Amino acid sequence: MKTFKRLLKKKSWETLKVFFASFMVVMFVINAAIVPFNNEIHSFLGTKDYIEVELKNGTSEKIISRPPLKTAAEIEEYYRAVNEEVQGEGLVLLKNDNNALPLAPNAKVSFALSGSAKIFYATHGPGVRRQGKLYDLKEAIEEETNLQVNEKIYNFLKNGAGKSGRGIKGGVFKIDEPPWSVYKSEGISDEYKEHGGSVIAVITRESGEGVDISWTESDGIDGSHLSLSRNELDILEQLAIMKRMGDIDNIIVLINSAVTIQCDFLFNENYGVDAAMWIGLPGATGMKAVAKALVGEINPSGRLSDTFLKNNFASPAAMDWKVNNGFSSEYANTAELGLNSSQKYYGVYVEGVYIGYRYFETRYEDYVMMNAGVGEYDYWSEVAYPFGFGLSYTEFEYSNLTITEQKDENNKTVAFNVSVTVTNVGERAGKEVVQIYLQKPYNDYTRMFGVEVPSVELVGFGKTDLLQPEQSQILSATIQDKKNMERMKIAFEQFRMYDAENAQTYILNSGDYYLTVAKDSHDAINNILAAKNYTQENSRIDAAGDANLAKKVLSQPTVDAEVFSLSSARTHDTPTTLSDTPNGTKIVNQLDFMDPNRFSGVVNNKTDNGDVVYVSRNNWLGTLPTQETILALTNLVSEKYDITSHKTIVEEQGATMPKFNDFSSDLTLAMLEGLKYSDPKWDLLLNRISQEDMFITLTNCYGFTPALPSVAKPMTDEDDGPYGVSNTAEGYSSMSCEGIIASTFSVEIFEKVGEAIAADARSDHDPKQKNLHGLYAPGLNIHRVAFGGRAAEYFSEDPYLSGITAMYEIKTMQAQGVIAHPKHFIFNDEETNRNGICIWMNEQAAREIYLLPWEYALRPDMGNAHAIMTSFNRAGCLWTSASDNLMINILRAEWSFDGYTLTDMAGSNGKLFMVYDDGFMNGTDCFLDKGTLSGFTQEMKNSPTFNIKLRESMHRLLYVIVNYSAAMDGYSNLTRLQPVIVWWKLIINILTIAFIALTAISFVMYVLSDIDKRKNIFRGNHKREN
Amino acid sequence: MKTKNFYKQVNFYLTIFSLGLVIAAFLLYLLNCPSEFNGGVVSREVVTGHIVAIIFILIAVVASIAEFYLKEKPVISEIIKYRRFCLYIAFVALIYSFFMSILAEYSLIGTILYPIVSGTIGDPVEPLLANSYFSQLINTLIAMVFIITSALILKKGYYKAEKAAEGNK
Repeated sequence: MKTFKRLLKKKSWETLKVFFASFMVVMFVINAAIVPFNNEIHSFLGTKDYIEVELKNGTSEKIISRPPLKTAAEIEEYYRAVNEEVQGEGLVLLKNDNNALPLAPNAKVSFALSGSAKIFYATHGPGVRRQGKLYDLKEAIEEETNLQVNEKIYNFLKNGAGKSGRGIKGGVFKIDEPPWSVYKSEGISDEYKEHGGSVIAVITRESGEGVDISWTESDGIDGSHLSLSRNELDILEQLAIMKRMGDIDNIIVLINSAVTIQCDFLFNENYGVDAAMWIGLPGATGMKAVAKALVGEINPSGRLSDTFLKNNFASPAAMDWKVNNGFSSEYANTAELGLNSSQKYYGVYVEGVYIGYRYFETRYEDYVMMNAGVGEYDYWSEVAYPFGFGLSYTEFEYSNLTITEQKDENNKTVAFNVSVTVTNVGERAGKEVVQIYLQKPYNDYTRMFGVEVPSVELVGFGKTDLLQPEQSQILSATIQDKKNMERMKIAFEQFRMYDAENAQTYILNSGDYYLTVAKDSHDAINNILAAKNYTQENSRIDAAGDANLAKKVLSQPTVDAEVFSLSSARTHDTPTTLSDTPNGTKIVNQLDFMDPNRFSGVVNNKTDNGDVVYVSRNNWLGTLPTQETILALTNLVSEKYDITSHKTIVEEQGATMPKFNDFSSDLTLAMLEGLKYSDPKWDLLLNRISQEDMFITLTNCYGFTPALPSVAKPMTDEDDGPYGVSNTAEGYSSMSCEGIIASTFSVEIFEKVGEAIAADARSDHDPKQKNLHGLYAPGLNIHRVAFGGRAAEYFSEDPYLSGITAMYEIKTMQAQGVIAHPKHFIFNDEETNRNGICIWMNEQAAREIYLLPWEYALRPDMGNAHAIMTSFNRAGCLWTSASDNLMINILRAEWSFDGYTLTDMAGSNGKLFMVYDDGFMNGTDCFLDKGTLSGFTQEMKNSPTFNIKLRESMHRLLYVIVNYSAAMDGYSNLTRLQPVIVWWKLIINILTIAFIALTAISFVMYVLSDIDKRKNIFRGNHKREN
Repeated sequence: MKTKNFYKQVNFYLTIFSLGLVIAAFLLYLLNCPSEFNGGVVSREVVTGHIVAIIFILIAVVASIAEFYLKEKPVISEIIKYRRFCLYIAFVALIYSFFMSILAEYSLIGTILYPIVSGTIGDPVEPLLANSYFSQLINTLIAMVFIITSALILKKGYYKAEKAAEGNK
C-alpha cells in the first residue's frame, strides 16, 4: 500500500502517459502498415505466414520436380559469359572505311567524349544490377586485348575536366559534353598527338522509364537529345583535323545507346569518322565483347533491329510528334469535361502501319515506281542505315535461292521453305544473317478500303555458323538441329493483312506476292524491284537489286476473306499438350472503339468531317502529318467505351453466386498438377477458398502472389527484369539491352538469354523463398519513334523480330519454372504521360504492328507465355486491362491464351483508372497492388457475376502456378501449409497490447495521483480552517 | 497566484503557430488527395488526426485566453489549468496523422524517391504535388514539436505554481 501511495505521488505519470500514448498510435500505424507490406517484410526477413508440412498419413503419389538449372556458386560466371556472348553476336558495325577496324593487336588507342569513361550499362530500374564488376571500355580493353590505352586522357574523361555532365536537368535530357576548349586547356589535345594511333569516341545517350527522350530543348544540335551536341561535334571536328594532319590514324565511334541516335554526322567528312559500331547498352560484361570486336577477335555479326536515321523526325510518327509538340496532347475540351490527369491526354498513331522501315522502303518503292502522290523523295537523305543493316570484317555472297511451297494433306498451302547458300568471300571468319522479306500486293482493293501495305516486311531470317574464308553453308529450315535456321520457314499465315473496313477480318489480297532474301530492308526492296525489272537504267532505283534473290511465290487471283478469318491458334488440351486442331475462332473487328474514324465518342477538331487523317501510300503528300491532331471527346459515347471508371457491373443472365469456404473436398493445389483446365476437380478446389481470400490474393500481386493455405498454394515471388533480374539482393547484373538481343538475329542467342535470366532468378540465392518464380519480362512494346524512353526494354521497330525474339526467350525461361510476364499489354510504346493516356489508332495497325509480337509470345503453339503484364495506358478511352475486346476476345478467344493477366503498378501510378471492378469484369486476373478488404465493395461482394469472374481469375492463377511454376518444386499431395504467427508479427502484437495497457495504466495512475494530491490539499485546507 | 497575461506567454504563441501549421498541413493534404497516386482517395485516418488536433489546439488556445478573463471564477480557472491535456491529445493525434499520411501516400513517396535513390528518371511527379506533400509533412512535424514544447511549458508552470502554493502553506 505504501509503495502504491509512493507511486501515486510520481509527477512523471503525466509525461509517461503521453509517451506511451505516442507509442501506442505508432503501433496502430505499424499494424495498419503490415497489411499492405506483409509480403515485402516476409521477403526481407526470409519469413512466411505458413510452414510447409508433410502429412504423415497417406502415400506420396507424386512429387513435383522443377529443380533450378544453376546454383548460386555457378551462376555468376555462366551469366556473365552469356552476357558477353549476346553482346558479341549483337554488335552492329555501321561503318568501316579503309578497314579502320579491326585494330592491330598492339595498336595505340586514346578515348574521346565523356561516354568513353562513363558507359551507360543498362537503364535503371528494370534490368539494372550493380553487383559484381561492370567492365568499362578501358578495363575491357586491358583485360581482353593488347591495345595500349592512353591513361591520362582516360583519367581526364573519367574524373577530370572532361568528365560527363549528362543527365536530366530541369526535366530535360542533357548531353552536357565538356567543350574542346577544356581538352586544350588541360593539355589533352597535345596528348592525342603524342600518343598517336586511333581515337575511340563513345557517344552515350541515357534513357529510362517514366519519360520519353527530349525531342526539344535539349543541347543536341537540332534541339533533340538524339542529335550530337555542338561540343560533341567540335571534338570530333578537332580530331578530324588532327587526323588530316597525320597526328592520329583513325576515329572510331561507338554508339552506346538503346535509343537510335541521329547518325547524320557519320556522313559528314568534317567529322572524319572512319568506323562506327552500335553497341547498345552492354550490361555488365558486354564491353569485353566490344573490346574483342575492336581487335577482330569477334567479327561483328549483328544487324540493326531498328532503322538508324539521318533525321529522327523523318518518320511519320515522329513528324506527328513534331506537329503535335510531343507524343501526348490534351483533349480540346479537357476543362469543359473536367477530365482529370489520367483522362486528359491522348496520342494518335496516324502513321498506321508505316513504322520504321515500313515507311521508308514503301515510300522509296513508290518513288521508284513513280506512283501518284509520292512527291520528291530522297531515301538516303533520311535513312542512315536501313533496318537489318550491318557490316562484317568479311564479305558474304548469296546463291542458289530456292523457295518450296509446303502443303498439308488437303493440298492447302501451309508454308514456304526458303533455302539459300551463303559463302564467305572475304578474308576473315564470320557469321552472316540472311533476312527474308515479303512483299504483299497493294492494289485497287486495298486502296478502296484503306488497307495499307508496306512494300517489304521481315518474315524470316537465318544465321550461319562461323564460316571460314571461302566456306559455304546452306541455310534452310529443313536442316535438322540448326536452331538458327528454324525461321527460314515462312508460314502462309504471314501473308495475311487486316482489312478493318470491308471484310473486317484478315484477308489474302489478290495479286502477286514476292519473297526475297536480303542483307537489309533496303536491299530487299531493291531485289524485288529488280525482279519486277526495275534497273538503274530504266528507273530511279538507287542500286541494282539482285533479281535472283527475289521470287514471286504466289499470284492470288481474287481477294480471299475466308482463308485467314479463323484463328489458327491451338489450345492446350492438357497443360503440356496441344489440341490437334486450331481453335477456329472467327476473327472480326474488335477495336473499332479505338479508331477515331470508327468510334463516335471522339472527333478531330482540325478536319471537316472530324476524322483523323491516317498516312496512306495512296497519297503520301496528302496524308503525312503536317498539322496538329486536335481531338475532343463527344457526348455520344456509350458507357461501355467511355472514359469513366467504375462502370456498372452488368449481371449475366442466370449467374449464381459461386461457393466459397466449402471444405467438402480435401484437395490441394499439388493434386491438380497435370489436370485439364476444365477438369471438375478445379471447382472442388476453388470451393475451398473464401471470398475474402480470393479478393485479397488477386489484389496483392505486388511482386508476389500470396500464399493460400486453404489449398496449399505457396507464395510465389516475381520480379522485374526485361533484360536481367532487378530489385532483389540476388541476380548478376543486366544482360545487353533488348535491342542488342534482337540484333543478334540468332535463335540460339534468344534461347540463351531466356535461360540465363531464368537461371539467375532461380539460382538458390535465397532458399527460404525458393528464389524467383516469375519475371516481368520480356518487354514487347514497339520502337515506334526514336524518342521512346523505354526502348532498352523493347526489342525492335519490327513486330516479327520482336515476337520471334520473345517467343524463344520465353520458352527457355519457362522451361526452368520461371513464369514469363511479357509487358506491357498493350500500346505502351511511349512513356510521357503514360498513366491513363488514350491511344488511338486503326485496327490494321493495332493488329499488324502492335499485337503481332504478343500473338507470337502468347499463343500456346508459339511462345506459350503463361502470364502477361498489362499497361498503364488506355486503348481509346478504355484502360487496356478493362477492355474485354482486348483481354478476352483477342487474348483468350483468338490466341487461346490460358495464362493469367496481371496489371502494371495499380498500387501507385494510375489508381484513378486501374480499378478492380473494371479490371476483373473484363479479363484482368491479378492486380499489382496492395489490396485490402476496404476495396472490396458491397456491389462486388454481392454480385454473382463479379464473383464468378473473380473465381475464374483465381482458377487461371492457380492453373499456371501448379503446372508451370518453380514455386511448386518439391510439393506433393501430402504437402500442406500450416499458418503460423511469425516472430515479428508476434512482437508487433505484444508491443501494441503493451502500449495500450501502459497508456491506460499511466492515465489511471495520473488521475489517481491527481485525486490523491487534491485530497491532500483539501485535508491541508480543512486543517487550516479548523 | 497572479495569472500572466496570455499574450505575454511564449506557449500561447507556440500554440497559435502550431495551429496555423496544422491547418496549413490539413489544407495541403486535402488539396493533394485527388492525385493519381492514391486514386484521389482521402485518408480518413489522416483527416481525423488533423481535425482532432485542430479541435484540441483550438480548445487550448481559447482556454489560454479564457484563463485571463475568467480568473475570478476559480473552478473554471482550475479546469483551464489542464488545457495542456488538449495539447497532449493534439500531439498524439498529429503523430498518428503524420505516420498515416506516410502510409497513405507511400506510392507517391516511392515515386518521388525512386529516381533519387536509383539516379534514374522514373515517373514525373507534379512539382506542386510533391512540394505540397512534403510541406504538409514538415508542417505537421514542426507543429508536433511546438505543441509538445508548449504543453511542457504549461506543465512546468503548473507544477512550479503548485510547488509555490505548497511552499506558501
